Amino acid sequence: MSQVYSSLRKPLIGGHKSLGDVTDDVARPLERRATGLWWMAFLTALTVLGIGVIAVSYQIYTGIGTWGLNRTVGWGFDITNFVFWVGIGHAGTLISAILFVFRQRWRTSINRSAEAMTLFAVMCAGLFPLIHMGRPWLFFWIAPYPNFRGPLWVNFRSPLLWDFFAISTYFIISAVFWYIGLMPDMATLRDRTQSRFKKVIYGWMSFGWNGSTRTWVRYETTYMLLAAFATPLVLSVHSIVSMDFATAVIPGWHTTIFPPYFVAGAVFSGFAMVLTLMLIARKVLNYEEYITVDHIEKMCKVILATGGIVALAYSMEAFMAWYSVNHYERFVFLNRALGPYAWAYRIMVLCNVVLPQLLWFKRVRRNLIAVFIMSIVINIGMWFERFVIVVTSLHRDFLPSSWAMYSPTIIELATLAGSFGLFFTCFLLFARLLPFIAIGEVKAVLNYARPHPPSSDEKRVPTPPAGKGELALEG
Amino acid sequence: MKLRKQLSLLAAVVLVACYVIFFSVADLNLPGNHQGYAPEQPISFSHRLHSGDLKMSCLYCHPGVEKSPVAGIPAATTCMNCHRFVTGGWDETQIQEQQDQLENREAQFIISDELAKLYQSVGFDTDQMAYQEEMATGPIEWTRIHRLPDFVYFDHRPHVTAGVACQSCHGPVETMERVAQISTLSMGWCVNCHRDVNNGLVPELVGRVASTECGVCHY
Amino acid sequence: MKESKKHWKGIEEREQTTAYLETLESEFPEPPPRLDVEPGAEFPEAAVSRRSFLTAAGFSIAGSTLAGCSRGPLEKVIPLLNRPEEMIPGRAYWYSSTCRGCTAGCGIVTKNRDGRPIKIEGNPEHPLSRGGLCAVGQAMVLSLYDSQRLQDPMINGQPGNWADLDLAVTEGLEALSDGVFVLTGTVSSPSERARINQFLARFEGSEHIEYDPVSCSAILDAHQQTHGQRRLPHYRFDRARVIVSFDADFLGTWISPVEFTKGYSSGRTLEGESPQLSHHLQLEGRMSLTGSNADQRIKVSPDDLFAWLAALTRRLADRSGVDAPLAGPAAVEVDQDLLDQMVERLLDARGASLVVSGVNDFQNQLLVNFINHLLGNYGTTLDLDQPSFQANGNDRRIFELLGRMQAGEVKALLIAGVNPAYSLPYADQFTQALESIPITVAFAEQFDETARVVRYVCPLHHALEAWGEQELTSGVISLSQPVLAPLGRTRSLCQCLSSWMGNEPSDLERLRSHFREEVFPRQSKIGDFEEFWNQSVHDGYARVQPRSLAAAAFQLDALEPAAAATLDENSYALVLYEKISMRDGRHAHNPWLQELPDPVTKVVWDNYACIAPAVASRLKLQEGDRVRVTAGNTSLEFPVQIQPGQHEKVIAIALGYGRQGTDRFSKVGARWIQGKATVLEGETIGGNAFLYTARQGPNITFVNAVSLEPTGQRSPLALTQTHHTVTVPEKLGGAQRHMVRDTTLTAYREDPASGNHFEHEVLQLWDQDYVYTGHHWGMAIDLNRCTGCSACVVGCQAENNVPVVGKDEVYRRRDMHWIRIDRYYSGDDQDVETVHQPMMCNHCDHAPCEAVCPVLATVHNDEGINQQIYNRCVGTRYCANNCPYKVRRFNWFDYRTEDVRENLVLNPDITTRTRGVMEKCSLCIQRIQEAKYEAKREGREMVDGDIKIACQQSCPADAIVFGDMNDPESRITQAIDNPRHYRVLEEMNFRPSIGYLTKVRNKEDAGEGHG
Repeated sequence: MSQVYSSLRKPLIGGHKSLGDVTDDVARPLERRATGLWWMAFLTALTVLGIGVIAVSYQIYTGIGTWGLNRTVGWGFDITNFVFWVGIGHAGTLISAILFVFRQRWRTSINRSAEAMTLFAVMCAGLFPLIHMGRPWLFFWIAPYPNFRGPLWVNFRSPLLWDFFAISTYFIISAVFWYIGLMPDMATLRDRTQSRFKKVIYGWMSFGWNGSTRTWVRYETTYMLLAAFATPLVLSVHSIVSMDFATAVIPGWHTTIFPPYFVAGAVFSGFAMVLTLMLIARKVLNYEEYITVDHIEKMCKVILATGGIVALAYSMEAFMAWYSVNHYERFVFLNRALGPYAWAYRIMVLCNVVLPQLLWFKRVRRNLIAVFIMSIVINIGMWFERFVIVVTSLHRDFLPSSWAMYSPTIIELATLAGSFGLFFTCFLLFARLLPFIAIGEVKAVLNYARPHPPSSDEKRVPTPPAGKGELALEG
Repeated sequence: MKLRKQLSLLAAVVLVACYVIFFSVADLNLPGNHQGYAPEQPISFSHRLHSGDLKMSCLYCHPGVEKSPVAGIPAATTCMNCHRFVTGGWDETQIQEQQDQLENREAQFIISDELAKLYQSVGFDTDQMAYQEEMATGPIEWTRIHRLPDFVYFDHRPHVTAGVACQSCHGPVETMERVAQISTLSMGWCVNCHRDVNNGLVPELVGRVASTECGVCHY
Repeated sequence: MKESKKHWKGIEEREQTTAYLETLESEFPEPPPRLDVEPGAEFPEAAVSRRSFLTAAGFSIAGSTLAGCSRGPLEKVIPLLNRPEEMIPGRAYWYSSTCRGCTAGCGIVTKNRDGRPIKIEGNPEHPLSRGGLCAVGQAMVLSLYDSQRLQDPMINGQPGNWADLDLAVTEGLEALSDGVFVLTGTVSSPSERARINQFLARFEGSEHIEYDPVSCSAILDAHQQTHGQRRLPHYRFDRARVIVSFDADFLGTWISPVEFTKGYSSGRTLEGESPQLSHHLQLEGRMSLTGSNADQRIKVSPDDLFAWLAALTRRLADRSGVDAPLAGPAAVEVDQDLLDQMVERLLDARGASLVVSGVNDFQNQLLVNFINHLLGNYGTTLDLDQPSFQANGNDRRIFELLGRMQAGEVKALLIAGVNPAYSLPYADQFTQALESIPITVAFAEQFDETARVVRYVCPLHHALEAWGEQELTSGVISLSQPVLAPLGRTRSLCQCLSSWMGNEPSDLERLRSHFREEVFPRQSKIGDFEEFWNQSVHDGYARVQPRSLAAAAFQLDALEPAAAATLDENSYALVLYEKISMRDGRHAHNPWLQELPDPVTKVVWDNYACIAPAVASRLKLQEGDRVRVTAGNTSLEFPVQIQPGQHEKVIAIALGYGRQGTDRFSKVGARWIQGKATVLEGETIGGNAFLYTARQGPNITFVNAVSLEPTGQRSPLALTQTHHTVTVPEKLGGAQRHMVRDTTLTAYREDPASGNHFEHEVLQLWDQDYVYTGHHWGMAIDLNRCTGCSACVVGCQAENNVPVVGKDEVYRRRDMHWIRIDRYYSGDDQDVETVHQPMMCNHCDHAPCEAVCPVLATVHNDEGINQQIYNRCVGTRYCANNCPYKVRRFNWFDYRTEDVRENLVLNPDITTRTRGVMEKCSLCIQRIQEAKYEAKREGREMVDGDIKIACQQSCPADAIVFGDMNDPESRITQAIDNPRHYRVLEEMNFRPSIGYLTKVRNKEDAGEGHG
């Protein structure tokens, strides 16, 4: 872990933190009682989740008919939300895996929470393919398992089946990756805590971590391997999700550009969501020194880049529709822009293409309020992108006789809200019960992990990161 | 040391769990599988006696198999074709006859309890050996044994015309005192037999084609 | 299917007939067990009949679909007590009979499974309908199992029993010596007429009055005037080369639509060397089904119609040098060019032309008779010597009766089979007058408006429960036989009359004696009466010597000069019409028909005011806005429906709605938080437009001057299809889509493939496709024959247990019909051309739906059928999204009804689909399987025509061909070789198995048609 730092480089973590400070800062929120603010947020999220649960139970009890779908538009909010949440998930893995592989050390202070976000987002996403079935209680038929029917297998040609594998793989890998990253911090907490009970729990969760060099080496290796695992997933998952549409024959869906387009869009929306969460978190948990404005700006740049790709994809789609001389295809895009759902299309373009251009300006990127608003805007825009793709392609396809409109019912709206409820409930619990920032990793990038620390405080002896082992052994 | 203890404990638990699950699943009777179902019938009719010892053809009582999807249960009057003359079991009539000879009185007339139910249902007066329509209590309500789900359409006709023996699905009925369902009647059971036929593994049906299309049974 | 019919006809019946027929009546001592719908109904303990037990057996053996999908551990199976030779459980038997859905009396065969009829189909041998059957006929089987049919007699509104009713009525009648009147609909049964007359003979000056709610009395009156006999000619559209129809919807609802459709389509065949295509010209104000099929359609408001007629008459009279007493030129001038064309065409086709008018106006019909006389059509396309008895209604008499009632001359009124309290003009006067009559009896199947206001209500048999006979046209006698036990304690009209006359021969006896005395002598083919009778019952009809009814020659002086009545400027002409589904309202209790989309407007579960687009834009009305339509003191509200091609001065409203008791459907379909009831409790479906009818001269008029004012409220209409033309809206590119293709006759003569030149380079990934070695099922639909009558829609619904979903679900575009009829317009709103295109699963060989289903619930079989496996489906709806034809239907809710009796109509050969399952057209795979098994059983190869699938058999126009595309001789192969053949979206290479033949319009201008 011995890096040579240029003294010119701006430190990643502000405020001359000592190793102890880091541990204290991260562990403090977990050790003190929950604040009123947290309770307020948590209860709100829980209520919204409750509404969602009621809506879904009612829908499963009564029938899919409680959604606004019809014989022409067979998918609406359900798949829109599914794609939206899967997209959100991507930022986390990208930050924790790809940036790790590329040694982007600024990731350390946000990867833990971003990855948590991924897990919860994928949970929300996985929900929709299940409840959108006409007979959800038979969901397990999607899985190939030995049976007494001859046996009867599943249709390996169906993108929905690919989804099943893609999503589950993605969830498992992310979960393991995230947990491995947690282990050293679990140990730290174990050693700090006084309560017997917590000690046992943290003990179990840290898998008997003893900060020995060997443990660290094993840890680093595993982490590296998993990062390598997770990296392709970032690309594969949303590519496969996009094939739900790309392999279909419906004009507006049947497009080869979808996989890269969807991945870019996913990262685009994912980073927006990370920003939304981080900007709140750093304020509430006062992690300003850890999640600095530089972090925010870097993320804005990623958004700008991916946003560019998305914009390009939009224009390519339209261009190909015109260039292909396929009048069904042409019609779909004209219908998007000028048809009954033009409003949705315009929101999409405004939020995903026009407004993000503001991020070219440094002043905007470093203005937290502006960035916060922007992140919300982009999330809205990306949700509408999925809505436009799913609904406007379906509602007017080949035979005009079957053209129809789609509008959501309150059940669908409640279900969408519920998914946000689930997401925030989980995230708040995470913020309350687990270290929000990867202690171990942040310590590795503390500014005085340099050869000659400009430390004002002489009492402390700079210790190499591996030395953290002693800390651990004290307990 | 601590870690190892925990891990080994965990491993043990998992092992036991797998073991239990595996063996409980092995002889688990899936819902809907009524293999071995042999309910008591209102009249203890013996297929062993009729189609076994007396070598009656199945089609005498179940003519539907050739003309209709369902084999059908014989009407009470079909039984009466014989049982208006045969009113009791062979053995007991023999015994009775000997008894009569011993006591040298004219032969007495025996009506078995089971057949009495039949006569009741069709309104057959055994005193005059004649029908009394008004005495009829209506047909016998048999308990159904072989039963397929409502989304499965099995048709006897093609199987019988192809020369599939009744026994190959219903088992050795001619040996059963009380009929039982010997096959699982599960989809796998059907399909695998059809596959065997197509692969020429069923001697009496070599060269024939048994479709394995979904739409053959499900519509 | 055909084979099994033959089978039954051939062998068993031969041996069994006499026994079988004699027992038929006595066989039905009481309704079958297990069918008790209302808790009150208890059944006698006596030995139960054969059919009852078959029904019972049907439950456990085959019909367990009724019980849904529960697998009860213990289940009884009940055999017959005594199985007749020809009855094998689980096998379908076919009995021929006659449809009573309207007065046309088409021949039908009913499919009986385990003792209960589950399907009605056209009887191919029937001389008039020749195998066709309309939507109403198809749906009659459902009304048989209507659980709200009258079960018991009613006395003063209270359920009673026959004994009391008979006693009360007979006592009442004893006291009377005169003033007894019988009011019926058209009675085309001589025996029934005789029975009524016998009954009335005991009373002085008593009368039997026939009355048709939607009357064509003027036609008969006019013939009385011009030919001396009050007769309805037998129209022969099959012989007509030029058809000019003045607002007569003869393909939809006029007199005998199925028969006319048969004839019409037979005159429009393009097969053979020189294609003979009759020219059909329609003059009408509203857009009727017939008008939508016309080669040339002239928009004429009803008040100008007479002017046109007069002009045409004058022109023809001049041309043929007859000077007739005619009125001077009318105020409204008519388009002379069109008139000239019309005259030329008609004169070219002297004796082979047919001019009909649907206007119930005496003067109008006089001119029509004169025209047909001038053209020498009497004896060729109109048969007066062997007239039709399908409509005998006499408007004059009903108004006389009303007068007598008000004068208190009527002491007893027996109303049978009609519903005057609902359908009569001035119905309120009628009901008032009714109160003062001591004995009022209604014979009805439903507790309808009339039954609510009379003293005694006699529940009538359903047509399938009763014996009967009808002489439809002179010499064609159609027979009805009961196919199951009466489900309620009902009677036929004649049974009642007989019993009140003291002698009670059963209907069977009465009918047999009538046949022995009246019918049998009129034929010489069969010597033995029993044989003749059996043959007739078996065939469902008898052809005998027509009575010598020579009509007098046309009397020119019969004509009266009359001028056209013109409408004042600011008012609209209200045109009242029948919908093919509701007709005069007698089918308002049939959910299948309520949910049948109107062929032109595509609206279900409602009636509405059709207005022209111009009017809509002038009054700023959207579809579904409510308007108030006022005529005199009648003023009702209707939602508007904007109808392209309708005349600006015309408002069209369908009759037959606003029936009492239709709020029974308030619970039909799905119920959930945002779901709306089809109809609110205590309200009716639609409004009763009969209130606008009035007396005009001797006749009931169905045209009326009305004013129209918007109310500001809305009540959205439930449509299955909005007004989409084959052209995409201009704003959105405006490209042509070629799913419907048509051309003109002249273009076709030059190039049979004209209008069908859209070859696209079909890109194929595989060099070799899957080869179908065995059968390869396919279908072809001739757009030139299809009239859009929608019989196939109901036929499919009956065959495949398609659920009824209710108005709100249709409004949400969740209609469940497996076959729909797409209606496309071309041209501008003012003057549109219409094409009807039946659309169902295309069974693509490269099916997009099959690739995407994750659980293999929809797969292709080795005979080219795209199978849908309901029990495997988990309901992701991916297949429906990916279906380019959008023909897949999803069970959004549990649509199954819990009505035990209604469920008896379910076809046991088809799974009833549960909630959350996708379904679609299966090409009637159950029929294919049946046919295969039968062929196997008889050890023979299948031949073309073994399989007739539901939509195909019901089509009165023979537009649908189904068969094996691998059989070089089959009709489907010939259809595919036809240059007019094309497949929808063929450029996408889905390889559909359903094909279409281009529509050819008999027009000169060689327009290339759509696209």
